[in-house]
Amino acid sequence: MNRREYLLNGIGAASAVSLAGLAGCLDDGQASGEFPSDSLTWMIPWSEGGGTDVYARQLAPLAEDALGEPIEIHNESGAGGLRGMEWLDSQPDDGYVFGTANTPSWQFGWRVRSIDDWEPANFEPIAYSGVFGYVIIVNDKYGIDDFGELRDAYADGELERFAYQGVGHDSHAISYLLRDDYDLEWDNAVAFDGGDGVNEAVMSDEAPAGIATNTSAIEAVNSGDVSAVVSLMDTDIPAFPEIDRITNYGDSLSYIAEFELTQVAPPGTPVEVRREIADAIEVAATHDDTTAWEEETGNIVEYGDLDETETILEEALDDLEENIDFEEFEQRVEAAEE
Amino acid sequence: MGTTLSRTLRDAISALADVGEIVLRERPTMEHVLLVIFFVTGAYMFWGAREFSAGAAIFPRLTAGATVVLSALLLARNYLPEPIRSVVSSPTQMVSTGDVEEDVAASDDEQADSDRESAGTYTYDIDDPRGPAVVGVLSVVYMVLTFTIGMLYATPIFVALYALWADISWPKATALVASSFGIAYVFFLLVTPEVAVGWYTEWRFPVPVLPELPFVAVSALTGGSA
Amino acid sequence: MSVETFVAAAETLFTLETMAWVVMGVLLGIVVGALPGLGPPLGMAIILPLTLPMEPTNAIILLIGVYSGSMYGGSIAAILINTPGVSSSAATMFDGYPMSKQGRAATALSISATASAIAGALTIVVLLLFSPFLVEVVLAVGTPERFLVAILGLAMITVVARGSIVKGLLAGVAGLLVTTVGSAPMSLDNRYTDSMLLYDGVSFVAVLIGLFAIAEMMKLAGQEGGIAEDGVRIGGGVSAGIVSTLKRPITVVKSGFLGMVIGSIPGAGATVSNFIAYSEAVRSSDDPDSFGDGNETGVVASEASNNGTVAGSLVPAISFGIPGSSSTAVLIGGLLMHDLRPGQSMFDPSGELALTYAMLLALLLGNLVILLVGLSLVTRLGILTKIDTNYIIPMVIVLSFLGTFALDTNPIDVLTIIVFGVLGFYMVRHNYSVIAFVLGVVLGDIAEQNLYRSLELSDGSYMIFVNPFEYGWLSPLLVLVICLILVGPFLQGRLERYRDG
Repeated sequence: MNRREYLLNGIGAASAVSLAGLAGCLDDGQASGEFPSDSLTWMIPWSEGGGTDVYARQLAPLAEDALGEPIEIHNESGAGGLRGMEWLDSQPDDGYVFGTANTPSWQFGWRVRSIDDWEPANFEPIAYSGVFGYVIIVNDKYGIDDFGELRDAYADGELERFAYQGVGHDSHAISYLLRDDYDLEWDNAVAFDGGDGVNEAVMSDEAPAGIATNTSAIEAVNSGDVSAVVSLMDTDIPAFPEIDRITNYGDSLSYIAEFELTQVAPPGTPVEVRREIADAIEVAATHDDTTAWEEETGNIVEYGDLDETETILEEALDDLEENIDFEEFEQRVEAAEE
Repeated sequence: MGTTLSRTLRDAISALADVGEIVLRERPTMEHVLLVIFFVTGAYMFWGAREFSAGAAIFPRLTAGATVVLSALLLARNYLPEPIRSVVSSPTQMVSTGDVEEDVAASDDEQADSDRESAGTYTYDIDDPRGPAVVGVLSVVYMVLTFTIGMLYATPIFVALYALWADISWPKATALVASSFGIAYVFFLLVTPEVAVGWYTEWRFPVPVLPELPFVAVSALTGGSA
Repeated sequence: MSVETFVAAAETLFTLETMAWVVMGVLLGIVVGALPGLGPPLGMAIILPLTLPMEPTNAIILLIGVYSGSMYGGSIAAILINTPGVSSSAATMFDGYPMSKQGRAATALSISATASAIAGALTIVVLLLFSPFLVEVVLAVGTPERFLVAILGLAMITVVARGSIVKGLLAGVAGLLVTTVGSAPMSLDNRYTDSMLLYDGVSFVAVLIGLFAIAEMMKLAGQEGGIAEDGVRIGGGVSAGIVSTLKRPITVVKSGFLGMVIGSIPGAGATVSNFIAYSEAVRSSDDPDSFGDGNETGVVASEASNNGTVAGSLVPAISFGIPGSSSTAVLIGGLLMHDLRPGQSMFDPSGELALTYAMLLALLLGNLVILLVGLSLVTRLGILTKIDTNYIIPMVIVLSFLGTFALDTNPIDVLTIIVFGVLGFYMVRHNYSVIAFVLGVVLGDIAEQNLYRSLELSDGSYMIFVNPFEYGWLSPLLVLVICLILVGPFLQGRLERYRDG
């Protein structure tokens, strides 16, 4: 929430506190029909400077121009992005508050953590503005160039360990999928502390290979001694044009290894106001500045409108349930720590 | 009525202390309360760890167990046989500054000597035990106000209460309260507007709009008529 | 040293805005350090949340400035009013306070400024030169070694904790216990709570603010209002202090590097280093009896060492996220708050190396500011020590509350500062090492995660910590050092008794 909205929301809409009398002269901006008539809040469920946050900070100023109202970015980090979504769930449904959720990462987290206070399906779609996903990075000393060679190296016993980003994390489930369905026969999958932890582990050869996001892989590759050998995404990665693809070895993994930065609004937010925001995001995402930023940073910006986003959100959880046996995954997590 | 109550309370505490003295073989102090808190928390967390899966329980069990054992040792220090007792309760100087302190002490007066010791062991004297208690209680009041009316207005109230207790003169107290509200207001403007919301009650009292901040004022006023 | 990155860092630093943050940080630090009852960790803890809206580089530079400035500021209080409690300047009091009683306060203060600045600058230059090797060190330190370094830090409790070892250990394990609350790193368990508010555990920054701000204010409220004695007159010559320091180059250099080396040991901070440097000065002196009566060498040694500690303690902090002191614990909180993860990338030219260099250069510059401010304002600094604590107490508490809440807008954090404030107050009161407790809170997650990960790497075998043939020599070496630290004192005692007998 931002201060101007606070004034309106707090004074106009919070009549539940029976303070409305104090603020009779002020009204909720929404009532007069024009949207937006006041500044908006863009909630990011990760901390400032993180991968999701930098997208919002790139797009917000451009979207502001399109909307004619300021957008304030509010970081509500914690609990692997879930705390922010819980916060968003409780926000007013007038369109002045919305947030970015990485689909299907949050559906996965919500499902694994068996949260029942709120449901991803209740959030309202707005648009999506970008894509990121996983690649496998390998230490250069093994001279591995593609997934086939990586698979053989594990099969021969030359490699043993495989690094992922945390117990119960989607990359943990992917480690199992890679072994079950793509014959990546690691002996020992080891949880490191997030994406940076995996990068460091592969650089120092504590684990020969591991799962990294396409953007953090750029950093790891630039610092030397590490290569990105296979993309688990369907979308092209401009930073790694020549990279091998997991689809050469089996079905697509995009239902869990590729994420759309979907903008969503609290349950009940009317469709008209969501379209207004979506249009502004489209302007921002297709702006020349953004294209330049994309090339400079290696982040992939891709715009999808409200209807496309709706489809993505609807299908995300079903796709996960269809492809992943969550009960088995939970049992494996428990068994692994014995 | 009030005095009877406080006398009863004082009698009760004194009786409790007498019992404590027999059990502990020393006059109980807040240190014992501290140790009991450590002991109980440790025991509770050790017990609570039984619900966790095996891997997740190791570290809590180890640390909770050690907390229980160490706090029990310190509570029961007067019952321990001599060699163990001296390990538990006597200060051991690990860094070899002992020489220095002796050297210096030899050539100095007693006052400076005690100062030096207090610096080394990082303890200090409390002249007025009510001070810490009042600050502690006022902090709790501040927290309760924060969760109900929000920090923005809780802040000047807290400072006013403190000024009242510390007997600060009116003009100075007013300045102090005003500047504390100023600080809270800056947080509201620059850091997070959530400081004006009572987290538990979700109350939001109106916030003054300064005329010097035209964009705030304008957007607040035009919000309704646009 | 990566020259290109170094130049880029210098360019970042020498902009008007960034320079302003350095100067502001140092000045704030000096003020905070000199105020009665406030020390470096407290100053940093209250300023930390204020850096939230700032750009990461400026935020860290501001914190570093406060760190370095308050180290010097602490000596003002030590020299003028003999405050116990600011432990990093404790040894300064031994000779600094007698000097001010003899009417040589200005000389003592200028010695303090000069020695702080020279030793601070020297150690930073050395750290800058050695920084390329640190990358190798960081990469050599893998998961099992990281666990052992964390344990080494905890073992240092027995050294840092002055008083009973059992009390120190209890404080340390209680700190570790705090970190077990929240989601477990190796399973899907939420330990001790299902609340989303505690999912990521108890915020260690909130714990630090509680321990250093709330607890210290409770303590201050119990002490008599006007601490400053009117009798202290700031006399003596400023230039005499500069000359006196320059005439003792060996003491300055030796104490500075002692401070640096001790500071770089996880767990040992300025509290330890300024005592050791002081004892070394006494030991190597021709006239040990004059110490404690206003011997200038004593002030030089203590002040040179505590600013040398700043550079040293940055090493484990930015390499592994393991603090050498309470202040660096707060600094780590600042790094994490701005999404800067201590580790290899802090020394990587394509990572955060520029920030690391900017940070060190800011420290260098900060020492210059200390020198200028310290020498030019010597006679006026005494005012700071005379501020009525009744103004300080409510303001510090207000800043702590607002700052803590601003961290994450998590109401649990507000409860945390009160609980740990009260706990910390009684711990200090009864000689339970707060530093040990802080180390426990900061190291708990690192220790648990790396222990678990080590066992995953070794398929459950504890040999990973001791087998040099399969896993390298560093781990067994660390195990040995840890054992020596833990049993050493007992053996020493035995040995002495044996010798005496």
